[in-house]
Amino acid sequence: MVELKQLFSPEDVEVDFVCNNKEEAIAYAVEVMARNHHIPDPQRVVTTMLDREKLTSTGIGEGIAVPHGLCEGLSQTMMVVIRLKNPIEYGAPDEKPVDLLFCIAGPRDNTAYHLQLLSKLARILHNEQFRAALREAADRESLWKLIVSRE
Amino acid sequence: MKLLVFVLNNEEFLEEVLEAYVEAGIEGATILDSEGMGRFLTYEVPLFADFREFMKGNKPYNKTILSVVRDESCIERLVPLVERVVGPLSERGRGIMFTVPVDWATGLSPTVPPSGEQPS
Repeated sequence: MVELKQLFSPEDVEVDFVCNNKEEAIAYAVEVMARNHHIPDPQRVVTTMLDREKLTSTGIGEGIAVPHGLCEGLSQTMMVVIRLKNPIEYGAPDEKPVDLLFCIAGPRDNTAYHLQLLSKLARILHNEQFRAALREAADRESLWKLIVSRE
Repeated sequence: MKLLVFVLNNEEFLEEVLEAYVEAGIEGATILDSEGMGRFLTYEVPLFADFREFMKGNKPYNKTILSVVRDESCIERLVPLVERVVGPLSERGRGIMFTVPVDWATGLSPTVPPSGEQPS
């Protein structure tokens, strides 16, 4: 069972980041990941996530995206949450720009866990009030608390 | 009396599986077009699109056969007959068969004697 509290900490949350496009947002998310966790080759993680975006956008609608990737060389699944100051164009199905990114990277052989995590995020992010609260959270600590208290 | 549910993974076997049902003495069944969760998620929900490879080997569409069985010995006869067609059901990807107790039913067909027996 995926437990978000075990998966990420307030240090894995960034609020009001400014960027121009999804490439910059994903690159920054991996930078945050690499700051807090051991990632042998961060560029490879970025490339994996961007390749995944080429398949179809990981925008799930209502301003939220879940860029993710299974990468060689990672020993654990990591998640970073980025809230953008200004929404960016993301190619989401509802065509709404994205300002909340839940970025996930994990070991290639950990598919089942990765799927469970994606499903959990999709479930909790369906809630409109919860999404609004994420956008109103004052800082990274309160954003983190909101997310872990939701599961 | 049991509700016998069989999710047949490879729909190409449907005809032979239904012949096995009849041979085992199961007089009627309802066949539903069904779809695996993996296919739906990976092809209909963009977030899961990259897991198509992971789901490979699972048939995208399958058939679900529902049957109310009064004579439960029919099920014992059916299982080996079905396995002769689809392979061992204990192996992943063949199908899922289970029963559920039924406490009341109406509208069922009259009983057909099981294979090898003449009506009395």
